[in-house]
Amino acid sequence: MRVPRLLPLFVVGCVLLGGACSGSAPADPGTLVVGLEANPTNLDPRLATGAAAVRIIPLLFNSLLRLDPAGQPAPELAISWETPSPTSYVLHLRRGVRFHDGSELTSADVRYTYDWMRDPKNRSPNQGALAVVTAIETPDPATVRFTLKEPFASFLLNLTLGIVPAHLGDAKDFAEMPVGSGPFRWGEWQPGERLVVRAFDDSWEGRPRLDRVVFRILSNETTRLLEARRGNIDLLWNNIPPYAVPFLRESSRLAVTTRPGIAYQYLGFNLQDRILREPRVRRAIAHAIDRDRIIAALFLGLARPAATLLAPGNWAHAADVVAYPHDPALARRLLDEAGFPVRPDGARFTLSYKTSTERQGIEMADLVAEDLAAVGIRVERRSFEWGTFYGDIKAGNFQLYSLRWVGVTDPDTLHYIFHSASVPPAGANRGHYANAEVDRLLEASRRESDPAARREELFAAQRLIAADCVYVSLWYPDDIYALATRFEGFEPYPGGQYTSLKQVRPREERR
Amino acid sequence: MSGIGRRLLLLVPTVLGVLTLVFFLVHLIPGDPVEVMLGETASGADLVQLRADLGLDRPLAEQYARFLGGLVRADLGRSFFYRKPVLAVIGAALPATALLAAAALAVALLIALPVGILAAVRRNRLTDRLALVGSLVGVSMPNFWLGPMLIILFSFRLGWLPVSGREGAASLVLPALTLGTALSAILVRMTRASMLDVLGEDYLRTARAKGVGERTVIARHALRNALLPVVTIVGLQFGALLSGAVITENVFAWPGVGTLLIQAITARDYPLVQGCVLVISLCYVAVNFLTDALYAVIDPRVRT
Repeated sequence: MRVPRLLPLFVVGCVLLGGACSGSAPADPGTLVVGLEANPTNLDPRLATGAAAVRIIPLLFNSLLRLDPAGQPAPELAISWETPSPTSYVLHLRRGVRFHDGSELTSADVRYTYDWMRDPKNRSPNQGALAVVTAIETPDPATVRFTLKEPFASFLLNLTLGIVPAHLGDAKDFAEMPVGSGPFRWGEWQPGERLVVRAFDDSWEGRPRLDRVVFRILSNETTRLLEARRGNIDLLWNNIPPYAVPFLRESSRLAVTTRPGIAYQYLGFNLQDRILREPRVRRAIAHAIDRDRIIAALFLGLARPAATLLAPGNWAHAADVVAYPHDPALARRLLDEAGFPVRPDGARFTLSYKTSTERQGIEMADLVAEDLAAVGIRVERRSFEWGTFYGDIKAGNFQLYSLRWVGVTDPDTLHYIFHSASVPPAGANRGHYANAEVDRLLEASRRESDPAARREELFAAQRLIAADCVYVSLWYPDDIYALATRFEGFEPYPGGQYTSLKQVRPREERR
Repeated sequence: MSGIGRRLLLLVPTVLGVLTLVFFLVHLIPGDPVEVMLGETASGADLVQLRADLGLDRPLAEQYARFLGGLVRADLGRSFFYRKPVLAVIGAALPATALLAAAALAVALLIALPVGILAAVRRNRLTDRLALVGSLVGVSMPNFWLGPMLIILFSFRLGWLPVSGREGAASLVLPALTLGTALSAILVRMTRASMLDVLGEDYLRTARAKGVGERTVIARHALRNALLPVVTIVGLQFGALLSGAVITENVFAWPGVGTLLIQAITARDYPLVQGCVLVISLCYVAVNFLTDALYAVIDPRVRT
């Protein structure tokens, strides 16, 4: 019998191969491995949409302006800018910036990139945001002038898109082998598996201290955490669930850092619903939810209670909005007053709560349902595959749902979410909220050129939104990242961009 | 040969049926690829424009006709998200899945044949009982659980094998074991039962009476006849193997068609979903066709 004799051979072979190829091979000191949860599908800054791509692009491409760690526009390719009129922006470019192929970056490349995105036939996801631009002029190689249709206070934030070289941008394989002027240049890409970028020697910011950054795509959470714990991943960021923090901290090779984040978790209402259009019901629900209990149970304390979309630290964060402290007795009274007494079956009414199949979302829905049951509201939790869930939310097909706004630094996002004209597909006013005074304030804030006056308008809008209880503001989960102790210098950016990898260095270098 | 020709012809409606089903299913589930593509800030006019460009505004029947038309020209369309031809995207992922499926099949056969034969020969003895209990355990463990358990044991505690990824032969061991275990458990039972049927046959008694050694009786005379049903089951279970590959690839970050399919469904990348399902169903159909062809090799009586 030949077959059985092969079996021990096979087993021995596996073990030998395994022994030879695994173990902790000495890590290359200049290579940092990042664990990603999703595949970056397209790294062309003109076309990219997914979070994974948007976070990696600043390593490969420079933009006119960049957001600093506080979320404010800061000089990058543009060293200075002025606004001769509220509808005109003039930017002065840094000289001597080179693309990865050695050619010089000039205003012509800037105009090419922006004109390309504005051209409807290119189907750029940024086309909508750039609709306010009417003309782009380049008086000389180091100057760019944008002319706007109307004043738009948040316009500078649109200048953080990566600049593409005009002579290569139309090449067919550009998205597969992008050429930019960023601190790292293209290395290798195995879609769905790994992406490698290498230090760009001639970067105007100086050569990065890392030789290579390898992004590994590990969509399975368990696998990702085990790889990190095993020492095969040097950086995990934005994809560590709170429950895994103690597990990763057991490893001496990793330093796990948690710090206040700006992602904003909320409970959304459908304001067209027969029950939920009554403000007292919404306020009752807000008072019924015990945020501290859920933060302790689900986040192990790694989140801060929230009262408004813009996190503390944002220049437009309104600190004096109505918060809804946990108060079940008040919640019951509000519901009685609103005309929803407890029926003989013990419930006042039943609401459906939609969530995705993501585990944390389901657990959170169950905890919220417990809190609402305590005041007589029955909740039916219904979880759907992500695409279906998100489609329903956009279509207004829900009573309650919870989602998170991630990386919001631009206060104009308030207009996008709460203005009555922002009902999908125009914006994200999914609950059909309409308040004429909020509309007026948000419109005025867009045109306001005086920052102090703009801030007052944004404060007032946030106060009204909180008083109307459009969302239940839940919490801001902490930013959690794990970095191998052999590196230092990493700084988390609020938008999740890996920008600071250009200054990360192996720890030995200090000696 | 006419038998094989007829079987080949029968494959056409099977594959067509699968594709029709998938086409309508992916278009019926809620969610809109255009909204995902253009991002949150797109205007209503842009959405309408892109929908028209992609032909998504046409009646479903017309889209289906165009899809079939493309199929005839071996054109599966372009992936919405990779912005590349579907065939190129799948072509890049297919070798990884083929390797994984082949390795899992090898693992399953290498475990199942010896264990199944041994269990049949030592019927009702301890070896047999252990084999049966083992196969029950094997078939009861889902991939998404077994994979992490194997990682914890072999990669984490023992440090013998890599956790995930595709670097070197060592990284294939755990995924193949994860994917092959359930199949091997089924095959152990099949091999045992099939061997037991054959072992009672007269021609084996004749062989033994002629003085042929017991090993030769089992390997040459019994196994050959017992293999037929086993081969059938391998063919039928291949579909389960491919669907298991979707989960196994996810656990081990193995960049194959399964990983691609999950991405494509999440992004509502209709052409890519259809392409992945086409490839998977073609594989399934082809393997079953090969199984039928294998009969002819194993059993000369089927050759006519």
